This record gives sequence, C-alpha cells and structure tokens, in this order.
Amino acid sequence: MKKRKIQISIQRILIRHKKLERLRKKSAEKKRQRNICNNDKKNSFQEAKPKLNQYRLPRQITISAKSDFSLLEFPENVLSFIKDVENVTSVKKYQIVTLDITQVTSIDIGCISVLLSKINKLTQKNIQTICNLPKNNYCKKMFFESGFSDHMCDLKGRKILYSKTHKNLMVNRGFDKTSNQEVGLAIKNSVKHLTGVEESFRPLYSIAQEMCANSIEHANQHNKNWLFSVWYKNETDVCFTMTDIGEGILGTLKRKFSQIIKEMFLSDNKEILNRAFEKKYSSATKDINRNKGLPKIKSIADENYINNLIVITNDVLLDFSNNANSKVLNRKFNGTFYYWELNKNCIEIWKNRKLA
Amino acid sequence: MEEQKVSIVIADYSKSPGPRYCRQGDDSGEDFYHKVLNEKFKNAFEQKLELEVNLDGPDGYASSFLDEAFGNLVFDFGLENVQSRIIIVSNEEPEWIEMIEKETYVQWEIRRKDKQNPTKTIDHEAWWRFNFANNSTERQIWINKN
Repeated sequence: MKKRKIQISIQRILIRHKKLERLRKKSAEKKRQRNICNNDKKNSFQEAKPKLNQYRLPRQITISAKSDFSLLEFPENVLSFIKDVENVTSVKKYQIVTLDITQVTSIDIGCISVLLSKINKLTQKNIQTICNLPKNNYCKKMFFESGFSDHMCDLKGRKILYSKTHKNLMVNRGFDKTSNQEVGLAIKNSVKHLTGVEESFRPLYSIAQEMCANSIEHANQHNKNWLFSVWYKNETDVCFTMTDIGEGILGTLKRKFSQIIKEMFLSDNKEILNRAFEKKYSSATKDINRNKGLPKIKSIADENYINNLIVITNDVLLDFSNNANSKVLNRKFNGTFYYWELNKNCIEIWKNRKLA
Repeated sequence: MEEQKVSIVIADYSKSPGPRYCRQGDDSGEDFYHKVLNEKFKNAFEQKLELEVNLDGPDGYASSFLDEAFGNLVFDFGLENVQSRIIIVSNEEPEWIEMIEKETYVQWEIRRKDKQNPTKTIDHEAWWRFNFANNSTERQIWINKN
C-alpha cells in the first residue's frame, strides 16, 4: 500500500516536471520571436538614419541684432535677439546660426556676457555659431578688448589674435562645476586694480559663489552653463557679471498653492522676485535648510559692499540700488543675469564695518 | 597641563572653498565634512574635548558650503552633542557664526528628527555617526550616493 502511494507521488512529480518544461519552452519560443521582431525594427531604424543625412547640407540661418544692443539700457532688444536664437535652435532645425551684429552701435558688458553664454549653450547642442562683428569702431574694439574673441575662431578655425591695450575683461566659464580658484583670483586682481594690494574681498567671493552654485543647482539638468566676467571699466570702477542660461530664478521657486493664488491677484513678477531675495519662498528642493543664497546676495548689496546690483531673470529687471528702475520686461529671458560694480569705497566700507 | 581643545583651520583644507556638493565643484561642503570634519569631531567627542573650527583665512564662503558641512555634523551627531563640543571662530566674518548657530543647526536637527537624509553626490568611505540607542559612535556607510 505504502509502495503504491510512493509510486503515485513520483508519477505526479514527473507530470509536473513535464508540464513546467513545456511552459518553459513555450515562453522561450515567445521571447525568441519577440527578439526577432525587435531586431528587425532596430535594423531598419539604423539603416534609415545615415540614408536620411547622407546628402543633407547643414541648414543655416542669420539673425540680426538691433543697433541699440546694450543690455542694461535696452534689455528688451538684447533679450528679443536671444529669444530669436532660442526659437530657431530649439527644434534642431538649423545646424549653423549666424549672429549678425554688424549694425550694432551701442553695446555693454551685459550683452557681451549674455551673447557668449548663449554661444556656449549652442556649442553644447552641437550648433555651429558664426558671429559677424559690429562695423562701429567703438563696439568692435569693445568686443576684442572684452575677451569675447578669445572664445571664438575665425572661419578657417584659427584663433583670433588681438593684443589688448588693457587687461580688461577676464572671463571664466563653466558647465556643471564651479571654478573657485579662478573666481577667487579674478576677485584678488580686481581688488589690486582698485587699491594696489592683492587681497581677497570676501563679500564678492561669497556672492560669486552663491550665484554660480545657484546656476549649477537649478539650471537645466543636462545643459548647465555659467559665465563670470570682470570688466575694468576705468581706474576707479570694476564691473562684474554672472550669467547662466537655464530656468531663471522665478522658475525655481517653490511656492505654496495659497501663495500662488494670492500673488495672481496682488503681485507682478517684479514683486515675486523681490520676495525671493527676502527669503519669502522655499527652495525648489524643498529642504528646510536651503535658500540662503539669494538673501545673502541682497544683504551684501544692502550693506553697500557692492554697488549697482542689477538682476535680469525671466521677465523681470530688478535694480537693487534704485527700485524705480526695476520693471517687468516685455521679453522673457530663460536664465539669470547679474551685474554689479566694485570701487574702493565698497572695500573701505567692508573694512571699517562694525563687527558684533 | 592637558590641552582641552583641538582645532581645524579651514584655510588648511582650502584657500577657495567651493559649493555645497562634490558634484558641483572642488572643495565642497560635502567633501570637507567627509574628509575632515566628521573624523575630527568624532575624536574630540570621544575624548571629551572641544573642537574649534576656524573660518578665517580663505577667499570667502558660499553659505551652502558651511550649511552642508555643519549641517551634516548635526545630522550625524545631534544638535546637543554638536553645540556642546564645537566652537566656531570667524573674526573676519562673524555673520557666518550667526547663520550656522541660529539657522543651520536648528534646521538640520529638524531634518535629523524627520529622517530626511542628506544628499550624497559621490560614494564616500564609511563615516562616524552617534547612536543614541546605545550612546556610542559607529562607523559605516550610512547613505549611498543619491
């Protein structure tokens, strides 16, 4: 009786094994068929790609700038130009873009910085940029003196050689990392230019680091790029810019739903940006310990350790030294641009401040 | 007489301290915490010594560098332990002491209690953390790269 029971259970096990084996084979066959289908698809796609591109010449487009091309005086003209560049390159339509600034008669360090940042961005997207220089002698000279041409080649791919009459603009640019030492050195050189003593100026280092860190943290995840520039305006003033092409400050704010509703009726973007510098919102990361950078920048400007701080981001221009100049722009800038000045007086205010 | 405190001079670590995270740039707050501050604090804590951290000397700081370095310390050892052992010296910019003690410490203690782990942007070697359950320090890789 016992033997019979054992035989039955062995038979059952064998049947189950056979069944499992059948199922395994069936599943393997299905998988094989699926792979064959997928391989066919891949092959047709891979073959099609070179055929499509084989005889296609790169598509080109020229975008012309208006004559008033100073960012701080005519921000809408510059931002409109940048927006046009964005529009023609965002859908990967054109592989070569010519930036025609031949008719420009007024420029500043702001427009040069934004233009160079945009060119960096296009380079990241493998879009070739050709830039025609201004006919106006003053503007042309400023382009060369600024160091803009240090980042460009002529049409034969050769470096443009130009001996600058002044040390003028020094540009640091980066993509996904800060350049602490280079920024620190640039600040020391600017202090030396103003006071004759090569030393660090801590408030300036702080704000440059805050701005740079913000651009890396919040800029487009895959296409980060920032540009820091120093312009030796004259013997008594040095100008700085920090530009990043990304989302802009307003795009990175984390606001409560109730705040959004309230602001829809009560505030424009200028006020919202002002509030961001006063730490009225939390960071997009939602971490409780974040969002110390913008208030730090504001406090340094309020203490007059720097002069004439201007921020252009999204559709807002914020002038910290004269709020009457702050305005909502009719052009949107997908990024953040900071401009500020340093003179000997700022350094003295810092040195003579009362320490707690 | 036996020395009652040990010290860290941040200028010895870097003349140009960087951003918050290792992936954002050199000499970051995350890097400083893992390479210097965590180990030094653990030693001072076990020997019942005070740890003096001197912020004077470098080119300057981003708030995020200091927030990440001292915040992680609070996260790993708790506010009370950190406050009782750390002395921050900043003669050039006393504002940083105020920020660290009034904001960073408090905010990171809340994070610790809420178990909101800090972000690690690279893989670090094992580091020290205070175990409140058995009142001792333990060393392991507590959080992997995010």
